[in-house]
Amino acid sequence: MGEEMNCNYICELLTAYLDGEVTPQETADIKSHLAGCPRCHDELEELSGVRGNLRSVLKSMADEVDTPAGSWERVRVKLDTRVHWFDGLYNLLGGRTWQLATAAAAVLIIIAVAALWQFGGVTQAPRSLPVPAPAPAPAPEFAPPAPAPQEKSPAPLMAPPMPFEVSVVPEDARYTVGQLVEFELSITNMSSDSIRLERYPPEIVIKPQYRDEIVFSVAGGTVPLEIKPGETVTWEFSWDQKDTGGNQVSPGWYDVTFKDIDAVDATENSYGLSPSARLLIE
Amino acid sequence: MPDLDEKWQHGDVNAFETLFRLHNKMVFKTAYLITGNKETAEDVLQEVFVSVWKSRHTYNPDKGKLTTWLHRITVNQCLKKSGKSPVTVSLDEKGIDLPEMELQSDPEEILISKAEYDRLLKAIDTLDTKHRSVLVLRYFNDLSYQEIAEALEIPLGTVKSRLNLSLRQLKEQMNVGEATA
Repeated sequence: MGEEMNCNYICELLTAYLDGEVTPQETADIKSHLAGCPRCHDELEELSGVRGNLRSVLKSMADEVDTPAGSWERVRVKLDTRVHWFDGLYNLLGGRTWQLATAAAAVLIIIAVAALWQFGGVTQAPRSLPVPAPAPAPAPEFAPPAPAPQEKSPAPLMAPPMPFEVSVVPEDARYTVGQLVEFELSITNMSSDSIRLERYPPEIVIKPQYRDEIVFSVAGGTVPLEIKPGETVTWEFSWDQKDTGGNQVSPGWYDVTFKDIDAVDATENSYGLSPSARLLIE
Repeated sequence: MPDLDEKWQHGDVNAFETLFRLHNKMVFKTAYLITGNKETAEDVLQEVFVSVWKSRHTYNPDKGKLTTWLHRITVNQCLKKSGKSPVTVSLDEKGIDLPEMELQSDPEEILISKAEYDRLLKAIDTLDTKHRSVLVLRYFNDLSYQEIAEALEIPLGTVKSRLNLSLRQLKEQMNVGEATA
């Protein structure tokens, strides 16, 4: 193997060598080559320096940021928490994908058997025989197996689906400096029973994104509010971009959070959330 | 944490919130380091967890770690975002506050000057999302090559060559930066 080719081979392995991700044989090859090749030795030194600095820079950059406030709430409102048929099946089987797959296969087999039972007299009739007259309705004792029972109410472990929908409009908006900021929070009762908000109206807090500094807030009320089935309650909120001291806030991203909305359904299940939106002043 | 896995996979939102609290920082910071943009990183964070919730029945803890799955979805979302915007996002032009010389104040840290720091940031800017991703998974998340291969669903050899190429490109870009400084 020529020297140049050997250098190329070794250079391909240097990062993995620094990371301890080479085989014992490769380690021996590299060490042996480096002992007699100042160029590859220098290359290793330089890569080692960049690698160390990179770790340091990545850590430093990551330390500079944190998950923005209200992230969970923003995820929460996007989750579809309706109970699906597969949740019930999953619970029935105690989880795990293979069990789910087995169950799905079993359900398919049951359906197939039921279908054969239902239509077997026709599909299995010999071609040479005349097509029989339509069979009378099967007697009850020969009825095909009953289909799998419909999903019952969720297992106790499972959180009930939220009986209401929450939306903040707009979720993302841009404003020029000084422009009136307007948001609308809506809560719609999707259930067939009334729900109760423990406190009305909700507290509103505005913070610059990534900073734990409240620039503006509106205190929440303390009076409970009942929302009837199908009813939508809406809060409109506007902000003149002034902080609590009456000064125009700086341009940038801001989080608007409707804090600690506690809703209680007819069975006294409690749901707490803080929906939020963000806006850019530019 | 098998109990937690069982619960959120059964549709328990409270357990899912616990899962979010456990992993949101890792996802957000990883996305931020790959995309170089806080707003994009938050979008990625939300899309990752909404996607995990939607696909909760397809995850099998017996076949792989949850963090491997999270890394895969995070990188995929970052790649999706990079398709909608320029491949390289300037880290220092997006309002990121560069740490001051405090880097040198900790004796445990590798010493790096402000000039070197800036050059390295510019060098990182020259990498595309695919190459940044492997660097971040390796040198920030401390994943082994095998774990990166599993997370990105690429061969081990590709991880090796991609990391080597990325690190050497950083070194060359830093040398260019030093020569022009």
